[in-house]
Amino acid sequence: MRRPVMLICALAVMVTALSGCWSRKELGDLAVAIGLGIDRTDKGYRVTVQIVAPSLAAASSGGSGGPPALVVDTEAATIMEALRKLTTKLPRKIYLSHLSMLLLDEAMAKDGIRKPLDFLFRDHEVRPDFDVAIVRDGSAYDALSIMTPLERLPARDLYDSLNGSQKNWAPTSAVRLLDLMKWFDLDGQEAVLTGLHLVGNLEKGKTKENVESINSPLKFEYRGIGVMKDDVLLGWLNENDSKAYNYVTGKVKSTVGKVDCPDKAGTFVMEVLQAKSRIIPKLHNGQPSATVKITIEANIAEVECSLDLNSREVLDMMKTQAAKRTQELIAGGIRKVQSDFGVDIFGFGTKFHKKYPAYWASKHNQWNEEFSKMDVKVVMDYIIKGRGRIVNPPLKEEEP
Amino acid sequence: MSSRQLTMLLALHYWGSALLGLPSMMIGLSGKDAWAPILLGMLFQMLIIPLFVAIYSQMNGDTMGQYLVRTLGKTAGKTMLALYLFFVPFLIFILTLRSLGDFTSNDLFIETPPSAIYALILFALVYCLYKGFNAVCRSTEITFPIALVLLVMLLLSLIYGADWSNFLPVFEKGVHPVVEGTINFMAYPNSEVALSLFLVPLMKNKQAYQKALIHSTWITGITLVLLTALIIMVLGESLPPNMPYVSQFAAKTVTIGGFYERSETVVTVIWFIVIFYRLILTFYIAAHGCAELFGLKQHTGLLIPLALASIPLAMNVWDNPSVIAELNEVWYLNVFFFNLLCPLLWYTAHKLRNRVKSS
Amino acid sequence: MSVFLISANVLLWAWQIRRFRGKRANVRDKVIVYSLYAIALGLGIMLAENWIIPDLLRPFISLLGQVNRLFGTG
Repeated sequence: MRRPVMLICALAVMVTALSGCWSRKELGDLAVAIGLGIDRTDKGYRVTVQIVAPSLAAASSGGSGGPPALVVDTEAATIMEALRKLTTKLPRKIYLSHLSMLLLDEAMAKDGIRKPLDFLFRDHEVRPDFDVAIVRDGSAYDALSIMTPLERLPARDLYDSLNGSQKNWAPTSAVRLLDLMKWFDLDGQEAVLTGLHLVGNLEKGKTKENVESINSPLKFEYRGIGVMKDDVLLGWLNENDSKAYNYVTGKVKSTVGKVDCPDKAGTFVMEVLQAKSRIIPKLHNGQPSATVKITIEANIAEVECSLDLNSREVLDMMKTQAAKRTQELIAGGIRKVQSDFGVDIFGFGTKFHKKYPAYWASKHNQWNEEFSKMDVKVVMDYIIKGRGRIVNPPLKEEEP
Repeated sequence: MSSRQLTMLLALHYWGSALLGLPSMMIGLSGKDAWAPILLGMLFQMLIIPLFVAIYSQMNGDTMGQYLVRTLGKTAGKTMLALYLFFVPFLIFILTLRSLGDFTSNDLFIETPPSAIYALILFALVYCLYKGFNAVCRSTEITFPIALVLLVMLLLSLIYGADWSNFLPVFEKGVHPVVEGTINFMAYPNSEVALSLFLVPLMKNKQAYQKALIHSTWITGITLVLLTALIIMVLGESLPPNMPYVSQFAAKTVTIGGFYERSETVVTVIWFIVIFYRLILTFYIAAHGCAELFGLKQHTGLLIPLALASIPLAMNVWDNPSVIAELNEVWYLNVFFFNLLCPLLWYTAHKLRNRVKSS
Repeated sequence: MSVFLISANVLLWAWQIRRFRGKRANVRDKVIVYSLYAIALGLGIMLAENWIIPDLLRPFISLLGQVNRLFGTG
């Protein structure tokens, strides 16, 4: 008699545990958010959420009917309030664990992003692995409402594009929430965020027309890296300076650079395969200076002038030209940041902290001023690895 | 109980609350040198082990209650036992229970009232202890390898995002934070070696006991050092003190190759396993000690009422989590007194008594 | 929730009494076990009625704080 009773008791306890009375989250009750947008308004924030519409986003269902994702937005004084208010517009509660993108608009960034981000740092459902970007000349609401031809879920498209472009094209930088968390707390490095442009006809971009024609009316483009001081956006870097930023922080995985041909008119293009950077801080009589040593391995990707690539001197000349060009680019970029913005986004401060702790302890409060006056030398180590499939460009001129 | 089982039980017990809370506390105290206090603490621990082995030989197979009565006399012995029981195992039990409730109601099941979690786990604890403590020891042979494998998996996956230069400059703020860190590490979790004294009647020989203590110390020490070091490398030194549950957050940042993601559930699983063993050990000691205190032969009758009483106690012990920070500042005093000074006291008292008797 | 606790307490106590009636346990055992149940019941009722403030560790912490000031690194 005892054993069946015990068994029933145990089963009863397990039933209470497994059915999860209190904290159960049925999948049908969740609105999975893949994109979040925060705009600044007078009342507070306008929060836009892009939600997956599951039955319509699945590829197997033939793409019939409506869009793969929905966008809902609302205004409130704080982010958490806005998210809860959104349940009045949706039959489900918003679930943030699958966020791919967070978009902020420029007005928000110029005001300071620490306050709205506190919710994202604090909530336990939010994971720190999504990307953050600033929408330039537009609102996050618009950016999240576009349809994208290649990927069904627009926020995923933005995320994949940002990460892909960081790997293949130096001027963009994928900044995760984790990176922002680290930079906000660090004295020696300031935050950066990538800028997103929407190019084209915004109204058409929000409709199915964007997906239906070969040349979609609205395209998005990542352009420029925004320099921030603490949590306020100061300004934007142009393409070359953004490249410099990525070179110095060692984030370049592969990119392409144009170089003038030595002695002849025309340009050739190097494809960078590997770029490593080392920042060596130096302290001289209490004055900081740094050397940035960049090691690049590159392939010749495109030659538009007539050069004899079989000759060693020509390759050497190309190498020195490429190295010089890159060095000017990087040095120019660093100088521009020093003079125009005066904030250390490259992380020189953390290097000084690690090597000269005593100096850092005395100067870290005025690090940004020290950084602007600092002398930075760029040293290149350039290696040409390969030339591609053909050696000489087609139709090479004959030497007279 | 074999030496291997005791090793595993003690290792699981030390990992108990340390896995989730220790890195944050250590990094808060010692910054990026948080690996140093753990190593130092481990070394000190090894030095203290001989004291406990000596007490083991003095105890001669008695339980703690009988040993204390023999050493200090009937009333003093029983009072000492009562005090110790209340301030160490029982208190740790309630606090650990409470931290389990806090964790689940903050991070996992937000709407569940913590008392439901307590009821569930107490049911499991009472049932396991009804089957006898030996059964529990044998179960560690299964769960310890699981916990170890999951922990190693976690450590390996953190290596990918690690930045090795986060340790520099070493000892930036001098030795003082390291000393503070060592004291705190000795206090929690390491001084709970004293709790193993209660398990002495189950251990057959001295060599096995000593081996178990030494092995559990270095296993725990090394894994905790690696965990703390990896957390410093992945997150830096300013983020962890701000987050109570760093190990889980660090696991959230792991993405390798775009497909190995979301492994923070591993941390939760490990944590549940080790918390269970910490709870079961302290609960057993508290119940068994109470039984001896009142002269009962079996402790099984006491399990259910103690469990029932601990639910309201656990819920009332503090009203908001910021008390934890205050408690952490002073906890080492409690533990040093009961787990280090008192065994020393008992050892010397026993020696003196023997000398008096023989003279 | 506290209703559940108190009812569980009472039920388990009743079960224990029944077990004791079967075997011949001595008075001492019974008294101790029953008193523990009574304490558990009391605590449960206190929890339900909110008679005690949920800050039981406070005196302990202040005691340790005093000792810390005298001896420790505080």
